[in-house]
Amino acid sequence: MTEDSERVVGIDLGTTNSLVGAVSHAQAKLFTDEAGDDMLPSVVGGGPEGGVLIGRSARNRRLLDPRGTVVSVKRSMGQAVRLHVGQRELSPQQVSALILGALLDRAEAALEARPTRAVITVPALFDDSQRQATRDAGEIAGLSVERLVNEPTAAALSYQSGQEQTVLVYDFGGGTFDVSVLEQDEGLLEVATSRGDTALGGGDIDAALLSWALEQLRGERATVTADLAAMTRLSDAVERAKVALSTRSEVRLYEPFLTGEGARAVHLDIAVRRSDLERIAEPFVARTLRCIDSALRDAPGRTDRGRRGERGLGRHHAAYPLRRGSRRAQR
Amino acid sequence: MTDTHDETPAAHVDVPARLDALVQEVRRQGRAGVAAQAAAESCLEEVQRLAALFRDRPAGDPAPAAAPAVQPWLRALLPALDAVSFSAARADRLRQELARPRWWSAFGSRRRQLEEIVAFLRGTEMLRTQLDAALLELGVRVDRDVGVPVDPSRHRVLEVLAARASQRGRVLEVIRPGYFRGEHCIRETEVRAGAEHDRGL
Repeated sequence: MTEDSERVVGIDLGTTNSLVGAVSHAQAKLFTDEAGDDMLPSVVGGGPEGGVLIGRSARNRRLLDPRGTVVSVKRSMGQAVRLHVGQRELSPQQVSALILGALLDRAEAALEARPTRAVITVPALFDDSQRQATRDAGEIAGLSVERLVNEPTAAALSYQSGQEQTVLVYDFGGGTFDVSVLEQDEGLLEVATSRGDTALGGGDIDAALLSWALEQLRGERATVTADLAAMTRLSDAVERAKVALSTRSEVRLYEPFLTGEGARAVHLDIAVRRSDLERIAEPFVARTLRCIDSALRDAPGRTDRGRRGERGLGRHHAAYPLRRGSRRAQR
Repeated sequence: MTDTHDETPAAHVDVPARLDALVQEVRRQGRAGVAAQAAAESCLEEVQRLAALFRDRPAGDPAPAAAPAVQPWLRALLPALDAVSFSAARADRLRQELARPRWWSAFGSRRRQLEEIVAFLRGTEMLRTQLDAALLELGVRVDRDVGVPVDPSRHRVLEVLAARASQRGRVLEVIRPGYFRGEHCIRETEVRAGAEHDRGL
């Protein structure tokens, strides 16, 4: 065993996407694939020749073989079920191990040695059987799982100050939302309470913004929704606009020849203001605030909001200016 | 004939002054040499320091990353490239439609205007061809291949349709072109594919 393979890598084994990284010179660095993408879709499927596909290629082929493709395996962890991967039947641990193996391939390419030790993050609400299943997946992948770290704890570690404080972690992912209250005391971080909404995420805001963009097309809406190519382009444009509105107050969406032919051609040319996005996102943000209220109410021993030092933020969706404003208002 | 070479230099040169000048020049050159040496040594130290940093990096520390295979500017251009592609595809279909004789008879005496429209549509198609060629010069290949087997490393299937036996598992239609730089996928070709199994076509 070389010294490089002794290095402990950190793995975020996500429902939709997974990541792997390591700390070097006190800075975390994510390992990417050859195209520079750090996210690996958490999808495993059968290949056309009977092999196994992991990540993007499995996601790309999913519609051709939906029965033989596993998505969101994280939701099955700890359950005694068998999942179809092409012609094979695998346990959730085995499917997760395949994802872990693909992540280790990336790490190996960057480190020039295959890591054998890892820390893996799990949801704070994972029970014992789900945690054991995650450990088992690591072992099947040839890893010594040094520790399972609660996801909010991993996020809060970035803000550790060494002082006694309360940290609220707001994790607004693509398809799920989690909020956790952590207490830090003498260098120890402990999850006091966690609440979540498994049917709420950035995808909901994307869908609502897409619906709003379609409304702007008025009479052409039916033509656009019936055209898969047009909907694909519009979805991409809307997502780009959403990201751009985190730093700009207005963006313009141009999609010439979105759909239709000749005189019936539909060209998209609309302005999206940050205020439009905030209005569209508001109901979803309100749902996250209700989760926060519930988490704060249930945090043992601390119900006074004013005493809380709100620090941590999870994923990039949390960067919306509206959310920043809402958090200030709630203090 | 008078030999002028019998005159000694000393007869015309102030030797002490010339020697002083030479001493000053040697000193000046010496100072420049010392400065150059110091600069070279400083450079050498910097090179040695960087080499040591690289050599002594912690075990497993990733090597410095190479320039990304897919530059951000290329990703940013994709929507515009898509738009040109869609415009050209529609121009192509419209030009084929206008090639029908009934249009030429319908335009009658305004035939010249129809010719201008067709020329414009042809120009739009050429714009796409020119863009594809320019991208190829930059090492970027545009993929619009139809009829080939679905390759999950380069095709993203967005819809599956019932298909004849010869079209099963193959690309029936390209929804958005794919972009590839060497072995690197910038964006997969988004396609409609023929179902792999009989769906009762």
